[in-house]
Amino acid sequence: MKKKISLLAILALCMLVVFGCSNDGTEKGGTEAEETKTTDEKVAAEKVVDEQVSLKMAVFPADEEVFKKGYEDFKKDHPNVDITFETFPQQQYYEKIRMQLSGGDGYDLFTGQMDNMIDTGILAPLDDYIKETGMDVSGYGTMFDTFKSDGEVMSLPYRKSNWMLYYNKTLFDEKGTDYPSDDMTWEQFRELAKKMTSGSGNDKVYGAYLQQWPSTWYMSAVQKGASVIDKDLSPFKDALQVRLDLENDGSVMKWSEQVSTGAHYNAAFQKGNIAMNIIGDWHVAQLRQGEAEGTMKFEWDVVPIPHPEGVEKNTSLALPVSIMMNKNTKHPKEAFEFLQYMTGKKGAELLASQGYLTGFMDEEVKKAYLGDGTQQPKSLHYFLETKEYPEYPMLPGVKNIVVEQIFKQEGELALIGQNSVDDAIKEITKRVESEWASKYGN
Amino acid sequence: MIPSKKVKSKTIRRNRLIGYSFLLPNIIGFLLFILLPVLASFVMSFTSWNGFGKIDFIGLSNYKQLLDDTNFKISFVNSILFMLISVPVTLFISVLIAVALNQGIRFVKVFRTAVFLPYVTATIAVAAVWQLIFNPSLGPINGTLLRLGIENPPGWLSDPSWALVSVSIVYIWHSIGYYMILFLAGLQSIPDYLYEAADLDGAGKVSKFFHITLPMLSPVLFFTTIIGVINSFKVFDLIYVLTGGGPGRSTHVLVYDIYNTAFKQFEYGYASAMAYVLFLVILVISILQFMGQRKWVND
Repeated sequence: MKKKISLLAILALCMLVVFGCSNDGTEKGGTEAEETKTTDEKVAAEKVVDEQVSLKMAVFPADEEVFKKGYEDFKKDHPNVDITFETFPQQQYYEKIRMQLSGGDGYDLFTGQMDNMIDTGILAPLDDYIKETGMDVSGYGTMFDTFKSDGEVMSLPYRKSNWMLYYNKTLFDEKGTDYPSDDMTWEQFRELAKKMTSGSGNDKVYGAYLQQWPSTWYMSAVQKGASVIDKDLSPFKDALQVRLDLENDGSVMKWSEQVSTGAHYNAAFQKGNIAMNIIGDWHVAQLRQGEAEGTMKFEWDVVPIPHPEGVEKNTSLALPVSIMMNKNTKHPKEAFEFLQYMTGKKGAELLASQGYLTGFMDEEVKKAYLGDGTQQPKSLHYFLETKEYPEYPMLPGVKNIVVEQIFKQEGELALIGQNSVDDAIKEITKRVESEWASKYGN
Repeated sequence: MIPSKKVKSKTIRRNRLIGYSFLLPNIIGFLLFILLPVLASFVMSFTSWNGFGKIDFIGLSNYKQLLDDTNFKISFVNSILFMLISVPVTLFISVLIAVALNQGIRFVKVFRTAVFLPYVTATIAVAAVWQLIFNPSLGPINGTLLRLGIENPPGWLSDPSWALVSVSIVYIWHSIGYYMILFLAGLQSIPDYLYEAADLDGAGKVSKFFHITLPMLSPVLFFTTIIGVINSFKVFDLIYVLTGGGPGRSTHVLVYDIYNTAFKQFEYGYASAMAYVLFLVILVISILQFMGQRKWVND
């Protein structure tokens, strides 16, 4: 009898362990389910008073703060909407949010570049909501139409990630060199970078910094109107050659050194030994933060990026970052309201005042973007008139397969001297054809 | 007598039940967390699923596509190369160290711990430190080489022809401890009388090593070879942190390619097919090793 009892006890213990384990695995889902249940109950109870709604949203790590700020303001008019924000390191952002979303529960809203999410089929078309709410979309300009997928609006952009040239005024003053002009060819940029380069070891001053992303070298081809998925990629030869020349001059940090030291444009530029840094509009906010924290000890400003010969000045690349809505959300009305808030005029004013170049633009947003003139940089006005090409086409997989892999891997081989520029571009052409076009029937 | 027989079989049955109940947690864990995913990914390998929506079965097309996938070919070759470099060197060095640390030298326990320590250190931390060591311009390795008068030291991780070797070096350094412990256990089970008899016959140290130690170690050697091959095919975390598959595609190995296909390009079906090919490769190599075992392993 005693043995039987102990046997039962052991069995019970095993079951406990098993359920304990399986509970661990689904803990998140469990509590979420409970949460929605309680909100459902609340809904039933308070239907007459006010519907309490909780939403979950995934945002880029760099944008989390500004979204929280936006939500605080949004909440004033929507006290019944409760939003929790989640973020993941940029490198794993899409794999994490896709994992959550495919698990069934996940996010009502999420930010990102649309091409990374469009294949999931879970983006809610926004046209009806836009029509119903009578949302003002004029501020998006031409982007509103070019950004549609199969004629439907699947996301709205909140920032554009335009490229700019940031320069360290103090370094130019010390050298007695003229500041970079707003109308520079890449060849002139190379000369200027060479002029600004000096020293070695701890006193090394680099004329320029180009982050180890393929976009920092292929941009000059895109400025000419070429696209990373063209059949003829010959414009990219010159583009790659520019970066290689800059490396050979010693005026930028070598690609291989950047990779092996894990160099980063923000830390590098803030350190103060880089004269010119070509990077996106979000860097304004980063530098302002550096100033607020007192880590930066120099004056700085921005001008448009250099352009290829024969291309008009102030031509840039844009890569819109947008908010998308899950079509399975339980609260589409409230979710769209927040989407509308952040991507629309009010959110744009907030983002612009932080230094972001926003998707939505009108006179007041422009004013917020330029500020009252007390803050650096002084020359943001250029970017209100930029002519821009998309950094890459918003087709599913272009970013990951074509840009992240083919352009990065083959460009890298040329930059470390393993391959000639001609061969690298030939290889890229071949691989875009076989790895991307074959998968997407283009 | 009949009742007592009944009692006996009852006891046996009860004992068995107790035995099974002890196994139960493990079996359930295995079914839930290993067998189920393994079967699910097998099914997935015949689909074009991206994690969302309807699952379309596409038969063998994933496997056919693998045949002309250059990324897969490159990863395959890299994995084989990585295995060919790392397994023999790891085993060779760990046998030597195990033999050395099996002597009655001073502080032997300190040395054993020191050799084992890398194995229990988190791979990510190991990789981060080695990244500094391998730095072509600032790292200590090239600093030393330059001082020794070698003018063009290799770029290690940033040189496509050295990257795989560099990763192997870290991998070998990291895993020696584990194999050393296995060999040490094997060495300590070799009876002393064999060596005493050899001493009486006037055998030297070298011939004792080749005629007693190695043959007696062969079962351990067999086991470590199999485990070593499997582990080397599974290398991922080191590659992820040290090189990210680069420069170019020079350190793109199979598991990295699988990760990349599944979690960067979101082609779960295709990635599952790759995983099954990897499984087949390991299976075939293991079978070959078992077949060859009879020729060189002492029982």
